[in-house]
Amino acid sequence: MLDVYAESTSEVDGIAEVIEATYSELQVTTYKDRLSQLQNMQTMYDETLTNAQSTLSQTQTIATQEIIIAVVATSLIVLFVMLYTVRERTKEIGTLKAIGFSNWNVMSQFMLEGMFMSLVAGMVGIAIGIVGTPVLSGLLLPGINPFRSSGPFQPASAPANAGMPGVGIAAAVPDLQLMLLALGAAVLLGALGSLYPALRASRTRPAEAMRYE
Amino acid sequence: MSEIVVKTEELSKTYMMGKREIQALSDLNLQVKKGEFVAIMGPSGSGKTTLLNVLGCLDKPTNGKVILDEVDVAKLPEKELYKIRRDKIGFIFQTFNLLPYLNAIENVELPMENTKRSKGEKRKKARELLELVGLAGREEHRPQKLSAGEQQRVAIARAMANDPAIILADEPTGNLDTKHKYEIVRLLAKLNTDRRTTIVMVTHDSHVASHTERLLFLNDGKITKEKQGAHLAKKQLLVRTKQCEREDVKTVEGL
Repeated sequence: MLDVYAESTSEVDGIAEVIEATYSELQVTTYKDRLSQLQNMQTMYDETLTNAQSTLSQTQTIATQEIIIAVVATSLIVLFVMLYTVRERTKEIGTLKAIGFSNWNVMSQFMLEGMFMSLVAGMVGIAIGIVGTPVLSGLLLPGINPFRSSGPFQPASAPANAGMPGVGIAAAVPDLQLMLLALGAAVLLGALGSLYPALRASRTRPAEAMRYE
Repeated sequence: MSEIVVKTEELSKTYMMGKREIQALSDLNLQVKKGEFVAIMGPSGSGKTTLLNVLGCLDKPTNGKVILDEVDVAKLPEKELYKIRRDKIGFIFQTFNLLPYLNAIENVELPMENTKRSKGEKRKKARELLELVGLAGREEHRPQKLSAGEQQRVAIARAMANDPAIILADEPTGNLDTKHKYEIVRLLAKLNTDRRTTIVMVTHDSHVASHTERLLFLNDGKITKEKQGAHLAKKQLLVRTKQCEREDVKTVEGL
């Protein structure tokens, strides 16, 4: 390895040519070449990054779509279940009104029932999630052992992945904040889905409800 | 002085049954005094239940007034009516209508749910009422663990929870066998005499009706006949009691 310094940058290319022509067995690299190599590497990294980002954003789009579907489905399920409940219990609603429950009392009763039902369903869902996550993540992301991560309630300490330095793959691990968010969402959707059935229950005319069998 | 608990003036109610208009009540005038036990009889479709529903603020009249405890309830909006139903009226139904997932005492507490009474007061009152209707010791039983007669007793206790001005009973013995039927009507009569509870009862059964002191016959939405006077019921009740005690009926008939 031999370093050659030029007096001015404009002479570098000329000097390099002269050296190459004179000593054919030597390989000459100028800083300009190094720079372009570096630039190539950067472009490559950029591309990798863009790819990763686009994959991520695709995943996020799919996830968002799934969330929207889940939200709509949840609200509809609660809606239909509560409508059925209200219909089944028409006579009970009539009785409650006959013994002095106000529209508001009846409405809040059914809203609370819908929200409670969703809360329980949310908790069941989360329980299934906690149990099922390691299994699913093992199936979907082979090569990562989720059981190595430090317990279900901590963010995954990403197992370093061979290949690109500083890039690891996080194993899918339940997250407490997310679980609370899901539970909150469940209750909220329960309230949303129960709103119309509860309103209908509260508007029940007692005299008609009593005739209902 | 006889205080009037409920009074109707020119009470009418028309229903639309499909395209046909049905006159369930027409210009009906009725007065019920405090402490009275009134039976309403009549063929089906005569407007008995409609009358009871209108008196109980479950249904609104098409025309006329319903003055309950000096308030015309016919014109009140729903946000006032529920308080009337809660505080002034006690309902007893043919099918008992207890909530299956609540036990006896919880069912009795239900009308007190939205009142200012404390939890302890509610429990105490409900316990007293269950004792009054003869169900002490069965407070924790759910309706399905109680006989039909017992269920109706719970319903009677529930109707009395907020010390209503009037109890409205729609065929209270309609779903009961003979034995329980008389138990229930005797219980109502007892509440009426002992506590001066005002009761209006719709019934098909003339034996049940004979336990009351005033009988109204309803036909085509009008009161067509009325048998009045405490002696009627009291005498018949006495006759029946004595009949049970001894076979010698004749001496009683001389009363």
